[in-house]
Amino acid sequence: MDAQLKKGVLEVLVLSVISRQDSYGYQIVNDMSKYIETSESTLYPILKRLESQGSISTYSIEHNGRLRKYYKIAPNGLAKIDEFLRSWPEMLNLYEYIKEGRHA
Amino acid sequence: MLKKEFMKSLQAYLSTLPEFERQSTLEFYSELIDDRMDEGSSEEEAIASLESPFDIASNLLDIREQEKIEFFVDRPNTQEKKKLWPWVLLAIITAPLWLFILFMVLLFIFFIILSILSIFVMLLTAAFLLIVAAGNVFVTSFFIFPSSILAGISHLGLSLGLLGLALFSGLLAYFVFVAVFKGTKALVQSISTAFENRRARKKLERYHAQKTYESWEA
Repeated sequence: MDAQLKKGVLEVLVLSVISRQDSYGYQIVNDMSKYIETSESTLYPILKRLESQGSISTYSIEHNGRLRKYYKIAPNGLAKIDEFLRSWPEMLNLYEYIKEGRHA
Repeated sequence: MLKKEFMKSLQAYLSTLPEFERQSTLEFYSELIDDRMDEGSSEEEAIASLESPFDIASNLLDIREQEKIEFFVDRPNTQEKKKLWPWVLLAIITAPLWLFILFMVLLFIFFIILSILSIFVMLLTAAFLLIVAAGNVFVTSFFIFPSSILAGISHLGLSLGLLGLALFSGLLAYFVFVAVFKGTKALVQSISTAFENRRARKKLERYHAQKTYESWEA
């Protein structure tokens, strides 16, 4: 996938994974890797940015004698997902146009 | 490579980051490695599944610079204290309003307490008076018996009825007392456990953060 396109959709993908259920870092990486190729060093900055924007919140739960940080979706985050979904008809339009031009 | 080595390298490559951001990043990766090992991978496999500490660090630092992202969201207390000043000013300015509201709420609570107390006292008083009345009627019945047995019996019955009412009133008073007692006990307990949980949680988080930081400092 084009790097720029990937960048645009990665954030929403992270939000979507978290919105399905509260998740911890490793779980998010695992779920995401089924749909897009990504690394932990890409995920981490995204999580931090989303957190600072208030799209997700965090809490910690004790697990096997250590603390595990969970990420939880916030209303702001759901709004971003909705915004992404709303913009897809337009996206599709552009795709059709570009495809048409290529196979003229 | 083992986890300790990995974390030490990563820490070194991230040394240009501010303390809290570096700490937060290291915690993330430490957790990631632990989770992989929990799933069944060995320590070596878990480390191998990641990029090298150098690649991770350079990626992170690049993205952090380009996207202007901060790797630490919870600010230390010093920042919060600075932001307190405008709120204090606002509180002073709006004082008449919230002081009034606070006063009304306290007044309301006071009257609720007063009402419950009054009900309780009234029930006890009623019980007491009814017992006195019952006793009176009971004694009187014996004076009536010589003149009219029927009247005497009805007086006896009346006294028993009054006694029953007295007991009923006393029972109600008891229920009110128990309800208030249990209610306040539950309220106090829930408040104290909520505070305890909060304090314990914060302590646990700080303790674990310190512990994991020390484990790869060693």
